[in-house]
Amino acid sequence: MRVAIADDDAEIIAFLGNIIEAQEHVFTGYSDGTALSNALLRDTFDLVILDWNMPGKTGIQILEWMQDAIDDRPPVIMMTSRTAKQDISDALNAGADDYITKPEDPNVIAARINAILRRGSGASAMEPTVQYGDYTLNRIDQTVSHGGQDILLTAKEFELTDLMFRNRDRTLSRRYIMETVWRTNAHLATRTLDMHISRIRSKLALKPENGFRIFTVFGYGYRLETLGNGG
Amino acid sequence: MRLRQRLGVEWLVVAMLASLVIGALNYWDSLSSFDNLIYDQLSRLDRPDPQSDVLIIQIDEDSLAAYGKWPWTRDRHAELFTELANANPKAIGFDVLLSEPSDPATDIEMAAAIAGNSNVFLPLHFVFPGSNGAEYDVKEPIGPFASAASGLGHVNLNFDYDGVVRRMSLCFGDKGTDGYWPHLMERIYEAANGGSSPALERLNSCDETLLMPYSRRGGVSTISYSAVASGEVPAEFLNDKILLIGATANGLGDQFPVPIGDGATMAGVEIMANGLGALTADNFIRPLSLWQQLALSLVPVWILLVGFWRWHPRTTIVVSFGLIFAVLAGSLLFLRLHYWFAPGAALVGLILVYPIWGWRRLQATSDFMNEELRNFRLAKVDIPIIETAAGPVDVITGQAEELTHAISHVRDLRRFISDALSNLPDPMFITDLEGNVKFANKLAQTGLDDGVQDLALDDMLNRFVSSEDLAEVKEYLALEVTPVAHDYVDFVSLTGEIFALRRARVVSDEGLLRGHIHYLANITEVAKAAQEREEVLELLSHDMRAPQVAILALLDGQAEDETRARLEGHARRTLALADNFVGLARVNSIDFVGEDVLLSELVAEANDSLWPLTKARAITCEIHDHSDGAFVMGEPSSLYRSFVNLIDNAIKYSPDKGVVEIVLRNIDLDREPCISVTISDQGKGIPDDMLEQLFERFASDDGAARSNIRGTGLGLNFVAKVIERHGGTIRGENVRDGGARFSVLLPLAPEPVD
Repeated sequence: MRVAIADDDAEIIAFLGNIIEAQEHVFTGYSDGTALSNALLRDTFDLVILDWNMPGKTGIQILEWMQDAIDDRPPVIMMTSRTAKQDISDALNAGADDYITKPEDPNVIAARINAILRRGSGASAMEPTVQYGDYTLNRIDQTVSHGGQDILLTAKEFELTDLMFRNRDRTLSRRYIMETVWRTNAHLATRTLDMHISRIRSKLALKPENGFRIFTVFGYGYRLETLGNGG
Repeated sequence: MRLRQRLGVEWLVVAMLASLVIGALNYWDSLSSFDNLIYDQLSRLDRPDPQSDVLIIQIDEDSLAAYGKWPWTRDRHAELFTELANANPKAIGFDVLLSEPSDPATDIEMAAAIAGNSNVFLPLHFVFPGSNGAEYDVKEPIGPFASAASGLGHVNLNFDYDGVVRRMSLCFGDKGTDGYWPHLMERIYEAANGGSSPALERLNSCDETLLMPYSRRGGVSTISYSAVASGEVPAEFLNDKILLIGATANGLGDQFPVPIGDGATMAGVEIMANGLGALTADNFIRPLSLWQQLALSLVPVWILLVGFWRWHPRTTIVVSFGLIFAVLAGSLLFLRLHYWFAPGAALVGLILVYPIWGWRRLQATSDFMNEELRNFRLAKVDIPIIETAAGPVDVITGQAEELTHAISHVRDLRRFISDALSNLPDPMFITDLEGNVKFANKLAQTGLDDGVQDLALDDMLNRFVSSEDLAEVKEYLALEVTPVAHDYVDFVSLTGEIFALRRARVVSDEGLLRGHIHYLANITEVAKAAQEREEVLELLSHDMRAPQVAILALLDGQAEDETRARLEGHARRTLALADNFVGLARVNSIDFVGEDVLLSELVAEANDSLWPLTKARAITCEIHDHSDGAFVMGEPSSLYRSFVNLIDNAIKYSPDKGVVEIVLRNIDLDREPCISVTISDQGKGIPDDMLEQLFERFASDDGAARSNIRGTGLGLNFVAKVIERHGGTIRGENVRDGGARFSVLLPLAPEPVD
């Protein structure tokens, strides 16, 4: 796969390049926004990693430009050191497929990149049972077992778990989750989703020790992160 | 307003009283003496000519001298009538009573002489009071005379209260009955003209008396009795005349006061001649009926009463004199038309009503001034009022002086307030309820040459606010209630300056909304400073973080050794410092905007984020959640960062392999449902000298500074600020068996309404 990396800091390009090459992908680095947008016009990439503050064009400007200028737009990960809640939700709402705040653990970055690329390949057929780390999901019984223990879940909780695991390392908007799991875009009490996330977190013990953590993107949605080989 | 009501009542009372008095005066005819006086004066102005064919044959001093003392024997009268029969006069009225008999021979002789004439009318009279309880007795001439005469008529005179004879009763009793007696003159009129007089025809009843217009004294021709009886007068002289025979000599007593203004009396026979003249000329003066009199009396008084409301007192006094004159003139005019309007009641009304109303009006005004001055003294306005002027002074003048003083004080105060408002250091204007500008200070008028008085609010805004911000400003002004959290709107003016517009309600003492004050504060400098601060924050949050991120990226490829670990530690500390600094600055400058936050989730995630630290030092973080899904109204980012700081702190001060315990539970504080989060570690605890200033800025722990693990001094300060913003409290303490414990208390979010 081909990945374009745009960042004004050469150290970051090298750092990300190492991670991408370790995943057996290839990358090209650009140090300013104009260079990247020129490249996007004549070259094809499977993923673009965008910094926010760059000379030439900013990340957000490129993101907006891509919506109009590129027909088959590749997925975009915004990766910046801006941490404000408003910045994150702005970028995601502007069309970024994910948002990583610097600094981040190389393993996490790798997992997030793979999650985006995995979606592009359209893999992950609905098999009856599937294994994620120490967790086994049985889609026929709608049960999850962890460390040999079966965990009882309600139908909605299982669907939510399944959705989160299938899209692990990807940021899902609240709206997307509600429409997928509750199959409604009607007004659903916003607290309902909070409570379900809380319940699967505690029922499945989704915590770093077990190799997963649920991460809330304030004002946008949720992400289930895989933490390498876990505890 | 109260003065107006008071005066209204006073006016009504005065008007009613005046009307009642006028009614009473008219009804009981109380002012007849006064009215008669006026009548006498007015009637002098127009005296009718005497009737030319009337001749009085008077029993005067000459006759007494010729025939001896009165009464004469009746054969003397028989001589006269015999003489008169030759002259053939038109009618004869004999004004000598014949109601008692004398020597029968002379009575018969005289009766025969009377019968020799064709038109002799004899008098009868009434005696008041009558015998046997009757109202009056009728004294007719004795039988022979009565049958000899052509007719009888009464000769009673009508005396007014002052004893003056002004009126005549044309008849007595009810018409068509036996008791009906016309006046002797009416009889003669009928004999001379062949029908009853129009004056009699017009009468409604015999109780009505008519006023007699007297001709001048001596206007009626007279001739001495003795001259006629002795035959000295030629018959032609008496022929076709109306002859009235009566006593005029002073000694005979038949003299009465009459209103002709010379103070002398008039003989009864001459009074009758005047009456006959009035009958013939049909110029009797008829008094107006009670109701007409009443109505006419009330008209001028009511004109004046209504005028009191409309006219200046000076006009009123002129008008009231005018009305007095008009009443008299009206009375005279009526007299010319042979009607009598008694002006007394109207005049009394006019003369009384003006001073009474003046008194009541002055009293009410004085009371009002007193009341106002009292209110003024009670009012909060701190104005000294002079009590009284020096020297003795009339009460009303004193009040007026006090009031003048108070008014001038208020004027000064008003000017002072107006000056103060005008010179306010920021633009300000006041609108009324219709949204029109009623007042604007100097700064609000700058650049508006044509003034702003009564300018509509929208026009005012158009002159101040740049078009981009206009909608936002109008939206703020359209709000019914000014929001508490954000009680102003800022905008860029047409001159490029930045203003904050605040609106306040103008409410009267009674709680009524009178208008709005719009206050414009020039915040250009402040806004610039805020923007600069924003730029500094931007620098810190990005440009300072970026190199640290690069360092961490660079270290990633390096081999694990002591130097790398320490470099990474320093880089991460710098990052945390930048984050806390930016966080603190934001918290201090940005308005609180809360959303539903599930606190147990937030704490769990904060804990998850620190897992690399706990793992490296084999520390266990235990979360005991008894919060039962409690939500708080919070800012997730700052709350999250706060709990990261608190847990991070606990981990930092924990010994390796230690346990950090995090407990969430619901508690009620002063009946407010709250959630409490306690974070305890097993470290050395907080030094006693630190406990007091734990949450102050740069309160770093020296003891900790010597170890490898250091705080930034900003972390806990940030936490305290955030918790305070959420309406919560935070406490730090040492637990008995060692270690520090931080307790956070946050109010629960209200249940959502579906």
